[in-house]
Amino acid sequence: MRRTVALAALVAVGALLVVLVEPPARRSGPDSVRGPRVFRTSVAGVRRLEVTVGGRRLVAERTHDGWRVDGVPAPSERRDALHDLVTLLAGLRAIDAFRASSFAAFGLDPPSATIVLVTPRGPQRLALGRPNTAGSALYARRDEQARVLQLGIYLVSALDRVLAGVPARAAS
Amino acid sequence: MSGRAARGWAQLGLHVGLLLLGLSLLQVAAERANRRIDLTRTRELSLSGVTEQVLREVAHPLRITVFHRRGERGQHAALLERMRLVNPRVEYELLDLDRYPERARAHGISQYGRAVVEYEGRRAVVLALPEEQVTGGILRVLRGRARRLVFTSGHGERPPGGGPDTYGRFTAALEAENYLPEATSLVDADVPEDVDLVVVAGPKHDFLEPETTRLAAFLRRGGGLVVFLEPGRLPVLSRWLASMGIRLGDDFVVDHERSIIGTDGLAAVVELFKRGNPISQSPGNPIESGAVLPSARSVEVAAPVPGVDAESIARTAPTAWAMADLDRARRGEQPTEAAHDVPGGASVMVMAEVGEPRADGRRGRVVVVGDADFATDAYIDLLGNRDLALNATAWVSEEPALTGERSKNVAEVFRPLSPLVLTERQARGLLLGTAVAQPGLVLAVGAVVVAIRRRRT
Repeated sequence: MRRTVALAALVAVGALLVVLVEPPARRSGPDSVRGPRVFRTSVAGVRRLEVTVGGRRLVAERTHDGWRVDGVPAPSERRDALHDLVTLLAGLRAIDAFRASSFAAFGLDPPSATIVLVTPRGPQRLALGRPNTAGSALYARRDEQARVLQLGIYLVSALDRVLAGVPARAAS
Repeated sequence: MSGRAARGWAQLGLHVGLLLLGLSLLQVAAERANRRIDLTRTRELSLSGVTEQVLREVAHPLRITVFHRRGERGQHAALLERMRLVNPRVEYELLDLDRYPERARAHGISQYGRAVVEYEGRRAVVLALPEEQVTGGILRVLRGRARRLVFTSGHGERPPGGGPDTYGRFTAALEAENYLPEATSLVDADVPEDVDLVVVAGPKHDFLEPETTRLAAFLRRGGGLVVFLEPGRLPVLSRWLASMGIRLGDDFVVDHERSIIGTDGLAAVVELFKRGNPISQSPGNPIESGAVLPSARSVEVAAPVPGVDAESIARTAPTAWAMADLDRARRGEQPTEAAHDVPGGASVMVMAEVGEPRADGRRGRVVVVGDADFATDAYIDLLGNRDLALNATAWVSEEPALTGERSKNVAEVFRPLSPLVLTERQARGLLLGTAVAQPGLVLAVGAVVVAIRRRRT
């Protein structure tokens, strides 16, 4: 009788676990990447953002009333794009990180784009290179570190949104 | 400590020491020896016989560089390590394409899963998986050039690729073994000089005299010809083959007693192969089961012809019939001697060497098979069909690494059907056994037990 009760209790515990325990949520997109974090900051810690892609450059500063671009309050679309970009950058994780002897092969010498996040701790610079062979990731490098990072290609579309309408500056 | 206790401890120490020594020696022996036993059903952890033969030909350092996707290193490493174990001259390197883009660009690689095979200054880029792709790349650098394969066209032949009735998989297998296939008409042009192999794939219409003349010239200069023929009249082609002592039967070989499930009941089962034959007993790819020819005609050696060494190498089972009327055969009618049908095993495959040897000793080679369907996508994976088609091709193109030497005047060897394929008779027996006999036996035993117990009570 005792053994029967013990087995029944075991079955009941198993049934309870099946009902209560949920499977881990399947992540997709940027949330699925679990590599090293690229920036050491939170969203609120970003005071200033500088983005340079080719001849196009944008400098945005966070003020008490939102984002200002070149001293002028940003329109709503750019404000939203800036917020999304900063959120993305603050939580950005690398798909892969490895040491490389030459950065030119990855389009990092010179880089094709740079992102600078200015935080209370100081500026944090990210150089972007060329896409990988599959076009699924972008090579990048943080603050002259020896490591090359691979970042999700979705970063490119976030940058494009921020820079939409920003003209390329003529070479001086 | 008393003497007894000390002895105990000493014994313990000795046992532990001996155990460690034994384990260490075993480990050293294991490191030096390399033996693996592949118990997987499809031998997926072992290299194929063809690959091993090709690897044994490697006499100088051969380098394989694989550019893989992140996370896929292991699957490529396993294959390459197996190759290196066969021949230590094989060196390999595995590179994450994303981490080494410059080296990939230097090799002209822009896709994941590609292997660069380098040997004696020659280079080939192939898929890094499956195994036969890498083997094809090794063959290409060993030989120095890809081999040219021509399918004749213009007579309703089966095309090289595109569906169940085509030779897609056969062609793909040959591509993996370093062949470059193309279709060519011989009506207006000779077989090009650098062609190694010509395949006649089930022509529906007859050849013209100039075409057979061109094929004869191709054979005279040492070429390899494989002819797959369906039942049907092809007078010009028949005459030409007869001039080489190969007779095409105007018949349709059927075997109603051994009809295979999944075919239309007209298939001829090839069970008898000549022993020691480089096609059926290729060292790299021996045919270990029979073969099924869905719609076959007899092909046999007629009177000997000077300059031609021909022999029949495959026969159907003794239960087959060669039916004289093709329409009756296709309708599934029963064969009968009254209708001039011939009972008994029929020869369905002939191999021949033709002409005088060239300076390098090479002679023209031809294999004639009395069926074209067996090598199509629909049937090539049935029993030994694939090996039969590829071994025949390998022999005519003189791939010594793949075929081995010929033996003459040897007995036939019986190749029973694989137990995985059932004839209709076997299927009926299986059904009766499992659905009737077995439950019936249980019922009978139960009845006996009941009767005995009642008698006791």
